[in-house]
Amino acid sequence: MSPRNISAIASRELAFFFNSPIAYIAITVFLAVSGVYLFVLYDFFGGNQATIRPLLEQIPLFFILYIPAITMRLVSEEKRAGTIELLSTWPVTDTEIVLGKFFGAVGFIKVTLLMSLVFPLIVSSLGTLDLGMVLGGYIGLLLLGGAYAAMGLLTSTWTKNQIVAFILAVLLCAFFYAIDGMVASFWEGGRDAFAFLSFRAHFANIARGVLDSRDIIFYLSVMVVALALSVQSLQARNWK
Amino acid sequence: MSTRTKLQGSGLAALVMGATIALVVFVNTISGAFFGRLDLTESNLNTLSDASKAAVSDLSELEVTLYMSPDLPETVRDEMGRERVMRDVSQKFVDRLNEYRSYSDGNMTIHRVTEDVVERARDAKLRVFSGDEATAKGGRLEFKEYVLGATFHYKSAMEVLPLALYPEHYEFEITKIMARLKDKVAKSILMKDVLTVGETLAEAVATCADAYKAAEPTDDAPTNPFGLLSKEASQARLTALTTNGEAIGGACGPLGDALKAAKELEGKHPAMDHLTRVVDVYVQTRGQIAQVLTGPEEERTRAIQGVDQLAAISAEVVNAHDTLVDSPGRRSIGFICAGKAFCPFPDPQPLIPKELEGVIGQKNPFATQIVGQLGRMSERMNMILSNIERNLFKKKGFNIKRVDINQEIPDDVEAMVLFGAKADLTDWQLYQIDQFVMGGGSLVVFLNGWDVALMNLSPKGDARVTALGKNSSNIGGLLASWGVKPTGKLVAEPTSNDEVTVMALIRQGAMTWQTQRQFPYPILPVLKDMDGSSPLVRAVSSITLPYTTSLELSSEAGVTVTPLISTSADAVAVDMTDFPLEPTEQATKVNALNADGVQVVAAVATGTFKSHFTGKEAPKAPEKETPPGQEKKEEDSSTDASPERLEQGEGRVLVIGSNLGLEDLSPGSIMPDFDLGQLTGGSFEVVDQFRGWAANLQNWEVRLGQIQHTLPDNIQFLFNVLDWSIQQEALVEIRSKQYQRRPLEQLDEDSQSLITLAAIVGAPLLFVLFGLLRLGARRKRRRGLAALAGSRGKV
Repeated sequence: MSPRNISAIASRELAFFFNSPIAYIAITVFLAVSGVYLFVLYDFFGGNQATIRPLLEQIPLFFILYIPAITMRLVSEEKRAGTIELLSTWPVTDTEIVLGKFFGAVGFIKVTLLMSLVFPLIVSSLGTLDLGMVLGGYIGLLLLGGAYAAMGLLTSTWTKNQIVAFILAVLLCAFFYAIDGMVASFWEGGRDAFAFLSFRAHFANIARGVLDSRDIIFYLSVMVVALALSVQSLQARNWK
Repeated sequence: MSTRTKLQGSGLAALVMGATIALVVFVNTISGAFFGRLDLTESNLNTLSDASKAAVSDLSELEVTLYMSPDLPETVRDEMGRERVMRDVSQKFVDRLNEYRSYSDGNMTIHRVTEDVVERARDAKLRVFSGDEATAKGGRLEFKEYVLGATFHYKSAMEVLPLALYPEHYEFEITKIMARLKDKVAKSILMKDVLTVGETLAEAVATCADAYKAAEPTDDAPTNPFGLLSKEASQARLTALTTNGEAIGGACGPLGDALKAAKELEGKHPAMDHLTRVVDVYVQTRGQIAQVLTGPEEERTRAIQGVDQLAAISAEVVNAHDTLVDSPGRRSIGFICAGKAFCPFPDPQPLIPKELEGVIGQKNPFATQIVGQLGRMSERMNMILSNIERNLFKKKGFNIKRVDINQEIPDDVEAMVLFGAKADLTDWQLYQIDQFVMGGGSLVVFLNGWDVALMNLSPKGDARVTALGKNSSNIGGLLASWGVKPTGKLVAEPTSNDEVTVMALIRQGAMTWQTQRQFPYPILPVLKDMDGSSPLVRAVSSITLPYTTSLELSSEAGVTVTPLISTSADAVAVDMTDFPLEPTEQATKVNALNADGVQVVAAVATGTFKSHFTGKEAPKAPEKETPPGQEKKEEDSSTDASPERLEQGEGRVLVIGSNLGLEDLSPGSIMPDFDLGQLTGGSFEVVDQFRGWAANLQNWEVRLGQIQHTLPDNIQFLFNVLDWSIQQEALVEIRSKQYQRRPLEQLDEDSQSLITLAAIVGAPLLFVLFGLLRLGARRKRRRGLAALAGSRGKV
C-alpha cells in the first residue's frame, strides 16, 4: 500500500470537488443552514450565552444529508462511467483507491468544518467562548464525519446509481445515529445496550468537551469496518 | 470467470471481514476496560472534582436506588415555566452516578427500580412530575406521571435526590448528599439514645394507629350527598370501636411507657421534643375518646370524630419522627432577625389579632377598611418573604432558621447571618453574636450603610422622592474589634459600574407615558478585583455590590484578615448625604472627584478572635417574655445553666459592604409607627399613616426592581457565602464550576440583526464569491491554455 498513491487519489477527488461548483454550492448551503439554525431557530441572542454547543449538537443531523451527498458519486460515478476499470489499469490497489477516495471526502469535510469556524469566531467576538468545548466539538464532528463518509463510500461501491447510493447512505447514517432511540421506542431496556452502537450517544460525550478514548476508538472502528467492506465490495467485480 | 474463482474470492472476503470485525470487537472490548478521558473544557466542567471523589470514597457501603421512568417525555416545564428538553437527561444522570461508582473502589452499588416505578418513588418521597401527555378519565384530564431521582443509603442513614432534571447540578447535588450521609451517620451515633427512644415512640403510635384502623368496619360505609357519614355508618363504626376496645387497648398499651421515656429526654433535642409533644396530644386525644365512650349515649358519636383526629395526629407523628431521624448532623444557618435586618421569614404573629378586628370597626368605621387593607399588606409581605425562604434558600438545600438573638442560640446553628442591619443591636445581642463567634461559629455580615431612595413614592403615594440617608448600626464596632472596620463611606466607580433601572416619563407632543430606562450608576460598582485563592469568588469574574460601604482592615493578634473583593483604583468613597442620586448628575459628580484608590468592599477574618467584651462586664440578658395568660415563673438561680463566658475562640467572620439590595421587609420597617392602640382608639391619623405604610411597601419593591438585574449573579455569590459559612467549601468549588455564565455583550436589536444577517448571508456569500473568482480564474487559465494549444497547432 503506497501512501503516495492514496494521497494522489485523495488530491484528485478533492480537486474534483473544488474545480466544479459542487463544493461551493454544498458548503454555502451548509453555512446558511447552520447560521439560520444558530441565530434564528435557536434564538442565540435570546439565550444570552456565548456558546455554539446547540449548533455542534445539530450538525450531526445536517451531516446525515450533507456527507452522503458528497460521497454518493465517489465510486458509483466511476462504475457508471466505466472509469473504475480504467483505474484498475493503474498501478494502484483497491485498498489504495478506497482509502484515497475516503481521505478525499474527509478533506472536503475538513474544509467544510474550517469554513464553519466563522460561527465560533462571531460568538467569541460577543462573549467569552469555552474554546476547549469548541475544540472537542470539532474533533467529534471530524470523527463523526469520517464515519459517515466511510459509510457513504461503502454504499457508493454497491451501486452505479448515485441517487440510490445517496439514499442508502442517508438511511445507514440515520440508522446508526439514532439506533438507541429507535430500539427504545419499542423496547426501553434496549436503549442502554444499543447506545454503544449509536453515533449520537458517542458524539454527545465529545460535544460537551470530553475526549474519551472509547468514543474515538468507536468511530475509528466504524471507519475501519466500513472501509474494509468497501474494499471487499470493490474487489467483488474481479470475481465475476 | 469461473464459479471457483468467485467462491474463492467471496471466501477470502468473508475471511478478511470476519478477521476485521473480530479485531474491532476485541479492540472495543479492551478499550471499554482501559480507557482514558480528557476534559477539554476550561474549568474541567465534566470531570468529577476532588471533593466529589473524596465524598464517595469516604462512604464504605453506599447503595443507590435509581428511580427512572422508562418513557420520560421529550420536554417538561420547570418551576419557572420554561421548557426543558429531556433528551438524554436520564442517560446523563446514570452516567454521573457511574462516574461516582468508578471512584468508589467498588463500595458503591446502583440498583434500578424497574416495576411500579412511580408508585415506589412516591413511597420513597421522590418528586413526581408530569409532562404534556394526558388521558381523559371520568370527564377530566389525567396527566401522565414520571420520576427521575434516587435514594442514597449509607448504614442506617438515607437521603433522597427527589428530582434530577438538571444535569448541570448533578455533581453538586450528589456530592452534597454524600457529605450529608457521612455527617448524619457520624452524629447519629452521638444521638443514639434519643433516636432509639424516638423510634420506640413512633413505633408505639404506629401499632396503636394500626389497631384503630383494624377496628373500622370492613364494608363501605354509606355516606350522604355531602360526603358525611350517615347515622347508620357512624353507629357501625362506634359499635366496631367498642367491640374492639380490648384489642385497641392492648395494642396501644406500650404507648404510655414510651411517652414516659421520651419525656425524660425533654430538652435534649428540639426534634425529639416536638415528637414528644405530638405524641402527647395523641395520648390525650385517646383519653378523651375513652371518656366520651363511657359518657351519655347521645355524645358517644363524638368518639368517631376523635378517631379521625387520631389518624391525622398519627400522620403528624410520622412527619415528626422523620424530622428527628433526619436531624443528626444537619447544619443550620441562623438569620439574625434584629436591628432592622433583612429576615427571610414571614411574620409569625398576625398584625391585628382576629378577635380585635370586629372591635376596631365598632369604634372607628374608617378603621374597618384600613384593617382589611392592612391585612392584605401583611399577607403580601408574608407571601414575598415565604417565597424567598422557600425558593431562594430551602429549595436549594439550605437549612435556614430564624434566630431570636435575645434567646439562647440553638445548638444546631453553625453559622449566623446578619443581613443589612440598619439599626442598633442591644448590648446583649452583640454579646450573643460575640460569644457565638468565640464558640467557633461562622458569622456573615452584610452591611447596609446607606439608604438610597431613588424616585421612590412619597408617603402620600404620589410625588417622587429622591433622597440619600445614612443608616446607623453598631455592628461596625463589633467587627472593628476583629480587624474589619466599616468606614461608612459610599463607594462609587466612575467607569466600572452597572445600570440602574428607573421609571421615566416620556413626553411626545401631547402624549406622556411611563417607561423603564437604564442609566449607568456609579454607586452600583462592578467589581472585578477578587481574591483568586478563595473558593467564595474564585469562579466569579465580576460582581455588582449595590450601594456598598468600604472597609478598613487592620491586623489583630491571632486573626488573619484578607480582602475578598476590592474596587478599581479609580473608585471614590464619599461620605456626604447631599451626594446626587440622579444618574447623570451622579456620574458628573463622581468624575469631578479625585480617585480614592482601591477600596476593600468584602473581607474575611479567620483565626483566634478576642472577645469584644474582654475586660467589660457581660451585658444582662433581657427578661423572658411570658405568654399572655401564664404566670411569670420565678427564676431559680441554683439551676442557672448559662454557658461559660468565652474570652477568645476560633471563629470565622465574613463582612460584605452591601446588603445586595435586600432590605428589611418586617412590619417594624414597613410600618414603623404602627400602633394597635391608635386603631382601636378611633384615631383618624391612622388613615394618613396607612398611606405612608403602603408607600413603604411599594418602595421596597421599587428599590429591588431598580437593581433586579444584578440579583442572579449576587444570589450565586450568596449561595457560596452560605456554603462557606457552614464549612462546605467543597460545595462552593463545585457550584463555581457548574455556574459559569458566559453572557454576551449587550447589543441593541439593530446590531443583533446585523450580526445575524452577516452570519446567515454574509459568510456564505463571501464563500460563493471566492468560489466564483476561483472558478473564473480557472476557466480563464484553461481558455488561455486552449488558445495556446490552438495557436501551436496552427504553427
